[in-house]
Amino acid sequence: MSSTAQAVHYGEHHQSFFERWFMSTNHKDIGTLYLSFSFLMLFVGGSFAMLIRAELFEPGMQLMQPYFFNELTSMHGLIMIFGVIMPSFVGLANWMIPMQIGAPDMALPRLNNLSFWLLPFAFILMLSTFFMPGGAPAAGWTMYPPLVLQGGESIAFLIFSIHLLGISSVLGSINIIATVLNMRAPGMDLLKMPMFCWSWLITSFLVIAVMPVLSGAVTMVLFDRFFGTNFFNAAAGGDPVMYQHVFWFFGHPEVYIMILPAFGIVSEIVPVFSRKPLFGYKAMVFAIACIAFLSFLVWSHHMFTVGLPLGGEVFFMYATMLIAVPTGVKIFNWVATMWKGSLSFETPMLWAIGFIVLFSIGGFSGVMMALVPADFQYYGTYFIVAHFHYVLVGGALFSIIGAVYYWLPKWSGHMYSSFWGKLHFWSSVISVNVLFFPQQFLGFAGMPRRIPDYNVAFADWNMVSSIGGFWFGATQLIFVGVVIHCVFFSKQKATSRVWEHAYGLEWTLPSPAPHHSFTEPPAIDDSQLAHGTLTH
Amino acid sequence: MTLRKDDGQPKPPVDEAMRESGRRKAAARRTAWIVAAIAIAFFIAALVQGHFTGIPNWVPPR
Repeated sequence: MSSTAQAVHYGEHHQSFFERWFMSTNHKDIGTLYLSFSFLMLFVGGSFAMLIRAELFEPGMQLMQPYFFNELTSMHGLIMIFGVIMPSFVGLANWMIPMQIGAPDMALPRLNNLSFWLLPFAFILMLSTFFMPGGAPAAGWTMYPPLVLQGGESIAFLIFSIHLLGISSVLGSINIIATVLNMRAPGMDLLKMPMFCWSWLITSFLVIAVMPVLSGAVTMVLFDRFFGTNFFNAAAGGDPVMYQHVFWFFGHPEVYIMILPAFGIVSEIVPVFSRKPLFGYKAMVFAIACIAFLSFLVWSHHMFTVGLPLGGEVFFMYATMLIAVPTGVKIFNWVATMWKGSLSFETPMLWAIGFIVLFSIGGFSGVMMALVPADFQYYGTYFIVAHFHYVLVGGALFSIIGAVYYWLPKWSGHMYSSFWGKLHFWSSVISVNVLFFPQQFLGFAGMPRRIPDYNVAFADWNMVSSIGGFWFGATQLIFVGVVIHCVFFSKQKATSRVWEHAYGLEWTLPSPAPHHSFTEPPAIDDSQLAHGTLTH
Repeated sequence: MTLRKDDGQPKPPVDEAMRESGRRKAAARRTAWIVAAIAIAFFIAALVQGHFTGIPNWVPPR
């Protein structure tokens, strides 16, 4: 590119605060916005969880009315899924994908800005329902009819916010696909890309395929509620079970939307701190693709108890069990990467190992639920709650926190306190087990989910679980302190290659990464790929 | 848009990197439209699924 053009396109120029943070098209700034927003929402959704655990601390009604409890559980789920896990992964993708493939920015920067700015308005709409007549929707995050149709009119606001969130996710995924397929530096073949980019490319296709289906499902709910249609009204010939089919056609791939990028992150961190190339890079890529494909064939395992034909139950049972195979490949390959490696346990590695262990616990309980006869026992109990929290907190959230500890020095140019990072990890990993492990006992004993009061037989483990919940919630304040201290107050400068064995293009840039990077396409050195050489 | 007549003067050399960047942008836009079309197709498919399941059972409201 000519020097004049370069100055116009990429030259440093001063931006006002408003221009930088409200009108930015820079992938790093938008990544920061996504991460900051999801961090804020983590504490909003987390505060709802604290209230839920406070109410469940002992039997009887203590703090709130049952309907408000239902509002909290519904909103907690929606906020954590759409406001925390998904946006934080998109934030990481915004920050890292252009730097990892040697692109100057995302392919469609203005679309990127739009994708982010839909989010705050969507959540303002969603949270405003708490203050409306009739209260917030309280039918659970799955919004099953006919229950959801029996609530107040605030459901319209929730549905509109879900439409906005869907548009935001789809636009973000379009951008990621367009970027990865078109903006890679010359020589950065698809099978040389870092695992994080691969995981997000495949995740983006999942988002494209299923978020519009959720939009379709909630649109039909909207029409049933306000425009006199009867899609899901059994009294008028509609079929409520059809909603469950359409919803879970979205819902199960959504589970993988929330976990595949985590696989990518862990596949980045483990080789670095094992000082070995990633074991079975191509197998890891194909395992992710295989999991993504299978995720479209298993949705009815969420509905084994609705009265499916036996053949259907058997099909969905086996298809679900099949997913354990590529997932097992991934767990095996992470362990094989560590095997005989020169391991060191810096903060990101602790979170990655924590992910592997906790995600495996959640994964195993998932295989248990795949068995139809067993699922008839587990369905609707706290065992389900324990399962998906192990996968989403011990899995997705741990990987996101690990990613922040891994890349924060690259973003901020400063090192954080390793002591506080490790304390954060150990306190989190113990408290998260105190929080969720007893919920498995409660589920086995028959405690239903989504109830504000319970039999005294469940009192002890609920109290233990609540103590774990408060402990886990308080521990996350350490994370706030570490991040704020690192970004604004740390005196310890980070080098460009922050971690000794970290390869890949992002580590060739100075720390902090300059506002505009790779304005000239970098040369790709095959011996310096993020996952090691291509011999595996 | 104004169309300019070719004045026969030699044109300034076009920077190859600039052209490459333009090609990538155009390819990215094409990709984006294709993927957007897929997303819209899935949205319509969800509604059609609802209609086909709903219509045979539909009872007009009184």
